[in-house]
Amino acid sequence: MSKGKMKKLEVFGATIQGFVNACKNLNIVAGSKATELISDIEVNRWYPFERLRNIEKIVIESYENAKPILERAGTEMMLTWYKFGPGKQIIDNGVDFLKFQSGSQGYASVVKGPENLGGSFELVKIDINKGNALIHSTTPFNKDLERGIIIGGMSAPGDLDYIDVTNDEDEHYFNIEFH
Amino acid sequence: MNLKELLNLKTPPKKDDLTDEDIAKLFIKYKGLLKKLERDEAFWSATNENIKRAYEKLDDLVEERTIELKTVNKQLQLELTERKKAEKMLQESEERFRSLIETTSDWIWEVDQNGIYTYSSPKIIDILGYRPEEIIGKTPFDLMPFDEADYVKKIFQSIVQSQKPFELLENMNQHKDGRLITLETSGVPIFDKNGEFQGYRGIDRDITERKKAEETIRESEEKFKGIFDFAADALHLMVGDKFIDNNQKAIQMYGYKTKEEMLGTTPMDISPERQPDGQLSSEKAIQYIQEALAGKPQIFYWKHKRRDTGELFDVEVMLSSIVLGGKTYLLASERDITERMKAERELKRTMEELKISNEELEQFAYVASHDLQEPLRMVASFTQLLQQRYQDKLDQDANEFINFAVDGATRMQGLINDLLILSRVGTRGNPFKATDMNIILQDVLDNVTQSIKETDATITNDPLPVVIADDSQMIQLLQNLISNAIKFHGGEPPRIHVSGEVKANEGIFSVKDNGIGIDSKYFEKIFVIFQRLHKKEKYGGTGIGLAVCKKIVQRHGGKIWVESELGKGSTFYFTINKTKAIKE
Repeated sequence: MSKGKMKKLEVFGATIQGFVNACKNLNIVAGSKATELISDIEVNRWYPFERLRNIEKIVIESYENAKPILERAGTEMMLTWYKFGPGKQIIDNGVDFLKFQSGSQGYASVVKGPENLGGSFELVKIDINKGNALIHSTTPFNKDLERGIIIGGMSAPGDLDYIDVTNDEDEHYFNIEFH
Repeated sequence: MNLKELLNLKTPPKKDDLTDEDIAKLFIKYKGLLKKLERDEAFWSATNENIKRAYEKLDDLVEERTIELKTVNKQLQLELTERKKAEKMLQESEERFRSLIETTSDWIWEVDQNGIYTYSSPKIIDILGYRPEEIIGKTPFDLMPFDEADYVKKIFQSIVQSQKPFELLENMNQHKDGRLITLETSGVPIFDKNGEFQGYRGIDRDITERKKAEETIRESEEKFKGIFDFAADALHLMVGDKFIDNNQKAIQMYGYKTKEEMLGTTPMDISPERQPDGQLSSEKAIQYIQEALAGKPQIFYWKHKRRDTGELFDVEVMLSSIVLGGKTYLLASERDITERMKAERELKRTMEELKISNEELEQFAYVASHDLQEPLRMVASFTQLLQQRYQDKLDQDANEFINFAVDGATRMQGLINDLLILSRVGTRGNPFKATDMNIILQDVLDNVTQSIKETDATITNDPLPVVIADDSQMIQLLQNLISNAIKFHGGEPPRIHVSGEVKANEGIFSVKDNGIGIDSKYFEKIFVIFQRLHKKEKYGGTGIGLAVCKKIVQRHGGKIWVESELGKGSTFYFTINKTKAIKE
């Protein structure tokens, strides 16, 4: 995440497009409406974070129970990131994805802006032998979406047989179990 | 055997082939799949729930929309019906409007901002001889003679600048065949929805005939004015009983000094209070005015009074209504008949004197002839006695003198008898009654039988009518004419034909002969008493017969005349006026 003195929070165009494409693939947001949402989005440009929040808002307003929808959207988003985006160049396996979040470096690659607005998404601890980890998130992302992102990012390489992510006790802390 | 190899097995492994590690890996794999299934189920459950909810919403929405659609559909149908109705009304209105435009006697047109015709109704064919398509693209000034176009263009430019309606603008146009047509133009400006001026729409009326009529009326009124001002009679133009115009003669005749002085006066201002018959002048004047206003021209006498001297004088008034410039007036024409009245009174007095004189003369003639008969008879008798007793005792001269005396006395008796007969026509006539002229003719023929035999005369007649007359005098009249016809025969035996018929209010009779005829210069003279055209030695008689005829005919309100030519016979005509006869 950039430490510059930016006034606004911005999100990378590829992230927005990835999220919307995931919604499209899952038929969460259909047809022309989805196309309209990203018609002016260029993957290499930065956009106000509000653009992403607005898309989140559309999904939340469309579903009575949006939690599993957003989670699945996050998962789908990261599978695409891995299969068709830069994911394979960044990580080799599911644990790498967790490690990639150390020092919030993964988060910083898609969001930039004032820290007080952007928050952090950081790997707090990891025990590979026991197969558990803890991520602390203070980002403005929807937490269900973030849970999906963790699941998707870890499962995309296909080397893990079991992945479970929970934040039921405190939504900002993701307890991760993997094998 | 790793897990991948294990999963690729086509048949289940034997228990002994699996290590505890394999079993643990399978357990984790199984648990991981369950977790994934759990997440998938949560996702699909949420999705299905959403779909279900969407379906429910959709059902509600469909139901709601169906109701809405039904309402809207109903509304649409109503609107459609209304629109169709409106369209039909609009179409009918347009047809009516078009029909009105095409059948109206006026020409409807539209011009754009530049004054160029963009529409012309078909009426232009009748008015200016052009087809509508020939007019489109032209300007009004293209249809006008050069001078007129120049003149009207200035006026029209001013109107266009004002962008206001205009009406009744008269302008001269040239028909396609060259005739000049006067049009009366009215128009209103056209603006588009933004208020931009687009041109004019208007109407042209052919007023050529009206203009001609107005010109004729104007000329007629000018002529009337000329006649009015310089007429020899006094003329007044009146509204009700007030003089609104008087000519010079009127002003002079009634003693006014100026035209203005007489304006607004009434006939009563120049009339005595009462007319000669005792009626109030005001009442009598109103009667005449009302009759004249009712369309009955009045001609009457009026006693007027000069305003300045008060002198009374008589006028003959002709009062009638006339229309000038579309308004009804009374025109009084008055002629000063003071002199004429004086002459008429003089004539009347003379006629009365003449009548008295005639009556006295007739009476004198009767009395004289009657009273003269006795001494004359005495002279004749004694002269004849003298001739008988002393004829041989006197010399030749004395005998000749006595013969002269006897002859003179005899002729004198004849004259006196005739005079008596003539005077008796007027003084001793019988009352008039229905008289069958066929019977009269028969009586006459009986009376003249001897003459007929002596001259071998032939007398024929048509059926004769019945007239109202003095039968004795009718015998006397017809007998005199037939006797004359026999008497004045030529070399041939007399052939006489009597005719008669009733025409209108009088009986017309004729007695035609083949006698010696009469020179036209004597046609009047023959009816004068004792006038003879021939020596008494050749044709006897005193010359009173036709005078008696004339007097009888006059008594019967008729006239007598002759048509004749020397040597070719004569035809005597006379008429008997039935009305005159009845009145007497």
